[in-house]
Amino acid sequence: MTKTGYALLASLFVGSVPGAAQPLVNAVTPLVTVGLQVGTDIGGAIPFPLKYLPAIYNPYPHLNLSLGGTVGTAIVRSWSLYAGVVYKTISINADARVKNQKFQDKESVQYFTGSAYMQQRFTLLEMPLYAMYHFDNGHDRVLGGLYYARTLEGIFHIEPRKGFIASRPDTFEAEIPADMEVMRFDSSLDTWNAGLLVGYERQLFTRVCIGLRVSCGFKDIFKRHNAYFDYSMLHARGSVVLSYDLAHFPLKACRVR
Amino acid sequence: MKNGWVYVSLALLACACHRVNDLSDEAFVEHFTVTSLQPEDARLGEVFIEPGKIRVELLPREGLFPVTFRVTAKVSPTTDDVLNFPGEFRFETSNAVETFHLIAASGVPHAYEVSLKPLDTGADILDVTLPSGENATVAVDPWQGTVSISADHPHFPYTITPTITLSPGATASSRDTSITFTHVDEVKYLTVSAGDESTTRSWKFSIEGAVQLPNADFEQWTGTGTSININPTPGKVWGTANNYIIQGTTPVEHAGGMAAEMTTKIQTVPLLGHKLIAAGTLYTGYFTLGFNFENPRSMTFFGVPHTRAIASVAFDVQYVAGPQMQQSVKSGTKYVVEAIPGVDQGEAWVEVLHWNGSGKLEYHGTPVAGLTVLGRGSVLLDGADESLRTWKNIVMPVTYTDETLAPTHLVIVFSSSREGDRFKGADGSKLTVDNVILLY
Repeated sequence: MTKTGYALLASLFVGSVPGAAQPLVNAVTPLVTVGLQVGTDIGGAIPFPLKYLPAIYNPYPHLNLSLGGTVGTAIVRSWSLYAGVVYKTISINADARVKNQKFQDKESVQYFTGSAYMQQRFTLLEMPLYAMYHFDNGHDRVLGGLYYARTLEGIFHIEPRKGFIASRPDTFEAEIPADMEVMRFDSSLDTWNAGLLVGYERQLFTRVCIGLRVSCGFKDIFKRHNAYFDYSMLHARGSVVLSYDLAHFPLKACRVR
Repeated sequence: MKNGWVYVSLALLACACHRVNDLSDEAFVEHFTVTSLQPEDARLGEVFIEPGKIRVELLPREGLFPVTFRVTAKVSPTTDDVLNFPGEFRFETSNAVETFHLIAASGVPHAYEVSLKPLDTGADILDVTLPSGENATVAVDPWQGTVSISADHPHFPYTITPTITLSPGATASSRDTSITFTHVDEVKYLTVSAGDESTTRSWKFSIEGAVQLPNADFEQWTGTGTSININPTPGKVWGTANNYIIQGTTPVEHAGGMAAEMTTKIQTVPLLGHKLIAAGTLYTGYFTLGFNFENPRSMTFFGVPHTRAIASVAFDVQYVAGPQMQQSVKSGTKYVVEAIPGVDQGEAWVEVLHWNGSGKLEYHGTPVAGLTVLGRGSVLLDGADESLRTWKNIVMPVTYTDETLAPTHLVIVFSSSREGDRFKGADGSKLTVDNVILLY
């Protein structure tokens, strides 16, 4: 196994969040860095293709603290590779005005038009793997990579509040009552997700960096073969992260055991 | 995906401009103008627009129907959409109704009914009232030019002394204050002339004895497949709980015609996943589909106008219970079906009502302010009774507890599972009914 391989293996046991603060740009020999990270995420699952976004959509995001750590290693000049583990909760509620929103279960298809209140909350253990490019100024970096996330808890509720349903689009068959029951899709949420992430980081102080990241899932949040909607629901979120470089070692130090 | 950013931008723009909670629930018709009319010589009056109702005035005449017209309409700015608006309104009969829906910005639907209103010909009978104490009711049909008198137990010769209100300035051909019928089939005529003598109409007076409910032989049905239903149009009498999700009442062949077969089924509530026992029903009244599947009676509106007291209801019936009695019980957040001991029972019941509350009667089988149940009767159809597996005729008597008030409404209900509204019954129980006759 290569030195880099050992470093990555070690990082899995250490655990961390993306974006250690230690500037690696001037590293002459490969280093392993261990960092801690706190942050918050804004976002949730959105319809894809994007044409299915509700015509009027008022999101109410909740900010929750994410915690984690990263392990990184320099690979070539100006480039380093990071892996991490982050525990995070992404939560957003929204009012939406939808038109001909299709819901399909085993026995029927219905189209809902009206106003609905939506609740999403996902508690995730996210494991990013990304490459980071360090600009020559020693302060700025951009990153891009992938993430895999286990869903520890998922809530996806839709509460139709006003409107009507029908078995065909653009027709009226029944008005929904004022006390319409909340539709809970929790049990249909899949236990894992994966996607792409890109971001930018800037070193604020020695060992401290601030970063902005955007990530987008490429897997439906629902289990396979569900046909509730005409479209997929994909994770999309932005993150603000503050990372602290806990330690860095020459690689040899990691190879002792 | 190539338009992805456009959609995102539009969505963000919409987010910035509108709050869902601020969207209006209101939607209404501002203008409704008839632009073309068939027959072309039909005379159009005014158009009356009320919330949920549009009435188009037409001058009655022989051979008027069918009437068709096209319109232009303007809706309120708070209206987001108009659904089921026909390109052409067509009325086969004078009491036909066309319906469309306005959808408010928030999504709240508003139903509008378009109906015809007779225009005064100037030679009309506007109203006929009978002296208090006369055990009869009168219906004036200005479209047909008829006056129908429904008497409880007419003894012939039968004489009435009505007060007749004519069109302003109109005169009647007879100055007699009483009308005498020598037998039930006799018809009397009264010619009414407009004040300027430009119009003359001959009005037909008839008397009815034992009034029967329209389509009580269940020969007339509408739709097919998931839209099958009994035809309520002839008098708007019979209703079922059929909807596009479940069809518990369907026509079956019987004695050279059709009968109504009600079947108990297990209904899966869409999206919520509840499994509910749903009895097939047939009743006098109407049904409005809602989402209150846990209280099916809230969607049923019992009772149709009927002003004569009945002694009993006779009908042909057959009942076969499903193999396993079941009940829907809540398990966690969902209702599931569990087997329970017993044999399913169908039920028929009748109520004679007096309604003096305000507005339209809304009766779900539970007490309502202003509603008095004058008389009641019921018949239990026990699945254990094998004699019910073949057709038999049953007479269901009405026992009156109040004979001082006059009947206004009649409720007759058939259900394939007596406790269906409590989610008890047997999947597959079948109650078949035909030839309902009111006995006076």
